[in-house]
Amino acid sequence: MTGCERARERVDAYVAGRLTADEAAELETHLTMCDACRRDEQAARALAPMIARLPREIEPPTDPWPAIRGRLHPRPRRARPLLLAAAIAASLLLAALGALRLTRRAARPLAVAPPPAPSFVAISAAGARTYAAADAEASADLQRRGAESRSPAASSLARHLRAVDQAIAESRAALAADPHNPDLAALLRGAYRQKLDLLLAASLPPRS
Amino acid sequence: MPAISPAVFGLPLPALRRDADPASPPSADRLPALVKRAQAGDDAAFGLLYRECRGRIYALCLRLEADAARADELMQDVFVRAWERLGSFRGESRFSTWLHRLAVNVVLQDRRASWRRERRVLATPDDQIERLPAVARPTPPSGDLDDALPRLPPGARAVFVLHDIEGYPHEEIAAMLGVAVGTSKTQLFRARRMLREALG
Repeated sequence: MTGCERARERVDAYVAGRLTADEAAELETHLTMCDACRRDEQAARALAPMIARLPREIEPPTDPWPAIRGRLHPRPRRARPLLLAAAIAASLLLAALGALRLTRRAARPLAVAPPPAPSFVAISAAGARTYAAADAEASADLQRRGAESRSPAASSLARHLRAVDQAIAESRAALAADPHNPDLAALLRGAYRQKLDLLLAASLPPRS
Repeated sequence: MPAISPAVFGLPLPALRRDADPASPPSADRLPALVKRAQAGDDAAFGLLYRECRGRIYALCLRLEADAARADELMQDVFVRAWERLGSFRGESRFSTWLHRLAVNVVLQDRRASWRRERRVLATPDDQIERLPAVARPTPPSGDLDDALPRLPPGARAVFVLHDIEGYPHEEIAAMLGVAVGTSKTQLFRARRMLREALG
């Protein structure tokens, strides 16, 4: 490192009085011999108090928040765990229904000696119990939130959920009476999909 | 509050807050809770964060750009970018530090884009900051450092602002500007000498 490089490394500490006596003496010797470094030292010394006085904050002449606010896209919001659990349970149930349909389609060409086709109730019993428990909790949560907010959106959601629940109940009853009817299975699947969509939408917290 | 020159960067006098301490924002204890709410999508909480931090971010943009209108646009970009990237803020540093670094990047990225647009990209990165012309601005000497900053070449001004005013080390500045550490140091001493001459 040359004398000038060493001087530049130390000049700020020198101006701030942070060099040891030996370091300061060495730098001062260099400054007496080097015009450029002496100018750098003088500039640093002159500017230091001005920099210290500078405002660290400056308020903009006009508030740009409205323009910023207009450019903010909604952030993906975190889903509520309870309702998300219900939604996941509903999706599992849909998957079970889909599997049932595929099984039945695959079994059709083997009509000579068909294995006993699994009924909807047998396939989805565990999923249905999980779903029923999560659904009950989700419904209670939605009811509580509906009572808290009483907003038009909450009322609309509750109405839609009641209608879908009724469709699910009717489809399940019909499928229980005719477990191999593909149209009834499709009907039930559609009802669950609707409920899944509603639960997912409701699982997002309201915007403040 | 001390008297401030009315012609800061050629604009009517903005309200300056000389009593602010950048190391400890007045409501620093409120920020973590506001950040969490904003991360969950609460734009009202983000608005409060903006109000806490806008003064420091605007000062940074204004000093780096030396243009009040451009500083206003860049500050908007900074907060929009911050909103988009809030999910990546894990709290390892203070929010104000994270936001400040983001603002530096936004301003420097914009400057690089401008350079490309204006076909001013020169042979080497070091040349870029050496040879760009200073913004022509007939500012009379007023003895105020903020008044003299616009007369610096952009590269020297950026190094001076980031090092002497904002406290970034040369190694970080060099990385942010894409220049050698030695270039950053050279630019700093060049800026100081020019400022001292300008301020008399």
